[in-house]
Amino acid sequence: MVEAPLLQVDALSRRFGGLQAVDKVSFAVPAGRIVALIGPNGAGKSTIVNLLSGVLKPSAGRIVLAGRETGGLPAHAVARLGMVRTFQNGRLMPRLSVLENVLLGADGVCGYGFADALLRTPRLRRQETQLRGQAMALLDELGLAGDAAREVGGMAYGKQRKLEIARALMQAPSLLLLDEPAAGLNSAEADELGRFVMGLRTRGLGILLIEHNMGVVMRLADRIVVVNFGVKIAEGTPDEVRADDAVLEAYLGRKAAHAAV
Amino acid sequence: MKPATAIAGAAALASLGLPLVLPQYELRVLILALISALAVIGLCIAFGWCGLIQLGQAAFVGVGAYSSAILSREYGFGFAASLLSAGAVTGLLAVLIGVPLLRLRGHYLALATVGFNATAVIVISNAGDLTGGYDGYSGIPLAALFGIVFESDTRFFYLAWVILAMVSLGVVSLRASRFGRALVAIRDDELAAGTSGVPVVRMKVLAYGLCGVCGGLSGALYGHYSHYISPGDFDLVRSITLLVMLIVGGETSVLGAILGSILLSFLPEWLRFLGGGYLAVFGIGVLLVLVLMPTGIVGIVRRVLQRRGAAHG
Repeated sequence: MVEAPLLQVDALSRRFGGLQAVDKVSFAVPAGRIVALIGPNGAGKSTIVNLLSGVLKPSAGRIVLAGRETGGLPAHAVARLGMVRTFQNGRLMPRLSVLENVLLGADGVCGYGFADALLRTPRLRRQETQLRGQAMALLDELGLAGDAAREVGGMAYGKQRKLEIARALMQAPSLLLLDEPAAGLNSAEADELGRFVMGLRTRGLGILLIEHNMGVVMRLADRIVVVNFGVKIAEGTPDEVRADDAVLEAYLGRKAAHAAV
Repeated sequence: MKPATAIAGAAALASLGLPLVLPQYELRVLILALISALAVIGLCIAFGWCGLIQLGQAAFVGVGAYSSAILSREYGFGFAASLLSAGAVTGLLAVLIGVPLLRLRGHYLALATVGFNATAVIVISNAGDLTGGYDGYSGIPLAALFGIVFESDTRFFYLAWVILAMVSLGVVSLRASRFGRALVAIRDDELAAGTSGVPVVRMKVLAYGLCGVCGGLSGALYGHYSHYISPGDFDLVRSITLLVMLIVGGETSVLGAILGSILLSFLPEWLRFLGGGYLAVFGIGVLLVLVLMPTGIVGIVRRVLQRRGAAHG
């Protein structure tokens, strides 16, 4: 029997008024694999991530994470079930410290209640100490340990992108949705990020990678899903996708595609 | 301990000597300032942390004042019971109206809270025998705890001080927990807070509920102190004053809420010599604060301390 993939997306669709932004898109992300979602600007990639993460509700179709339907659930519920996203433009909390930004990700796993928080009970102290240790270990792993106490504002862009990944990992996800994690990074930073993402794959996380940087995609992805105008136009290994006529056409235009062939 | 915390703690302890040195009138103003500070701490949670614009805080104070007054005068509740009931009743009301109200954002939420304040005043003014209507409600019993009757201003000062200290400590430790982080995150970026696992709607209702609890406690204490309340004590102008107290003090900090309440309670006394021109000067002063020191008194003090720390370290 074939084991069901970690994330199964079936005929996912979303309309905005007269615009069919996503049209019956299906794909799967197995645990311990990196699936890249690519396509030209406006192809519907961001809408798909918003649908998966609960920011938008699907008009039709199914999203199943580890056997549980998550389509239509609010964002925090999706995140708490283990599907956690990052944002294209790194949405951090400027009024929280770097460490607190990471700790925010632990909201779903904190076991203490409101009374503990008001009275600062030993139970809260114990858990907060443990969470702080976890958060510091994550920051250390990403090379941000020295920044823990500072504010987010004024932090280097590359560090902000890493911090967002730390916040996502603090939620102990089983599936990570990375929305253009390499955007705005120089090539050394992008390489470092690539190695880090490969490390997460080895730990068994499923990763859906939305990325414009084709070098990063070709190096990291186990499979690539290509969308254009809201429709899936190709899927396969990096080599298969690279040779696909429909993909070349979508990226380069009809004439250029013919010339390339 | 951080220097700011140490200074605040020392100042709080030193303030225990104030009844010995302050003239009676100033002591009364200070007691009213501590009572206001309770309501302003509620605004700190809802507005300062979570970004929910609340222009109806005086209505919560009024609900607390009238419920504790009625419970103690008509139903013989003791002081502690009427105080806690007022907090609970007001918090519950805040949750009930918060559920529909908090679907609104920004200006719309602000307008809705103004509407709530106006409605509350009209209801209190017209509830006849229950609230005493426009004539107000008198004969609210003295506060008493463990056999101590708080009949003098000096005694009441200590009562208000202790209650304010307890609420402040609770709210400060709340800020250091997952609840504090979640509420601040919602004001910073609601969408990203949600995808980080924060149940945004539930947290907003919680913030508004706590804002109500603090308002209710403040109102109950006010009633037991002045023994007489009337609808005019809880109008929209009072709501705006409470919000200005928070902003002048520093909107994200409990200490700021307390400092702002004290400063804005004494300011009218200090500016009394201006007579009718007082409101104009007051208004311009508040505008200057908003433009020149958006982080309030606490923000400025913090910056000075940081600069000194940098110079020494």
